[in-house]
Amino acid sequence: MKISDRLSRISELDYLKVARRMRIAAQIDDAMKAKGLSKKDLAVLMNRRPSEITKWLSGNQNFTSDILAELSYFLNAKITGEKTEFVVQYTHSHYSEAERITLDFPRSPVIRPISSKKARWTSV
Amino acid sequence: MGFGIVKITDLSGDACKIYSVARDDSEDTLLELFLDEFDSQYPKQIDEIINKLRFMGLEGGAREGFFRENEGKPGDGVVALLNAPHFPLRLYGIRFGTSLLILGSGGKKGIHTRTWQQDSKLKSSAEQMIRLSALITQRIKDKEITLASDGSIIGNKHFEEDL
Repeated sequence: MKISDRLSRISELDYLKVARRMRIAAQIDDAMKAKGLSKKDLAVLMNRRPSEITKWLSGNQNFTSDILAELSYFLNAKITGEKTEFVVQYTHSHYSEAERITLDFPRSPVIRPISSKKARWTSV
Repeated sequence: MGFGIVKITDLSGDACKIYSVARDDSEDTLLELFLDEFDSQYPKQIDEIINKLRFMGLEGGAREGFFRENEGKPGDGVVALLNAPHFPLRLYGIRFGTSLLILGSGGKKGIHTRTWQQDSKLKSSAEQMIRLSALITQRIKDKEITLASDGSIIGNKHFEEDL
């Protein structure tokens, strides 16, 4: 079966569900890059396991509104799944260039640890 | 028997150009053959793959997080589409940044299969992409192929080698 036939078979609602999950993953990815955060950094910041961050970035995660609120708070970015413009990056060894199309995140919050023993953080 | 790299126009968009491979004796690409093979057994999963690829092409690009990286040799870009843990299918490809994705074939990953080397179908699919990556790298070095900034492959996309 040709791809065009498959696309006509798939309902628009099914696409919107998948696209929303993947859009959230892309928004997290862009916000992490804008802040220079690795998966491990974000995991520490949010007191989560790095494997959870990997899952969030995969586009397979159904996010709860609580997790979206947490992500928006810690990344100080709109993590909503609503349509936005993304950063396009060319990172392969044969082609190394980064083209920033649009990235307009609000000012980063000042984040400081409230306990040096546990990974708990607060904004001021 | 040779093969060509074919653009999947129905899935490609501004964010990412998506290509697959067609052998000279086949009208269908490896991606289409893979989807056909598993369609009757896993229709929802096949639709999920199509939807993911459509999103990457139109909007999100082929981001690192969407894939299992380092499925091939160091730096060759060979990846597998990262699916939910219960998802039984593995699809292999080559990722060039977020703007270009070349998809090959794949197979069903058994519960006890940890790596592609443990399954003959997965092994064959992954090794195809490893060989293809090496061939494309050589073409780029020989200046017979250029990867454009929008993700398009420009130049001679036909290969005489068997994949």
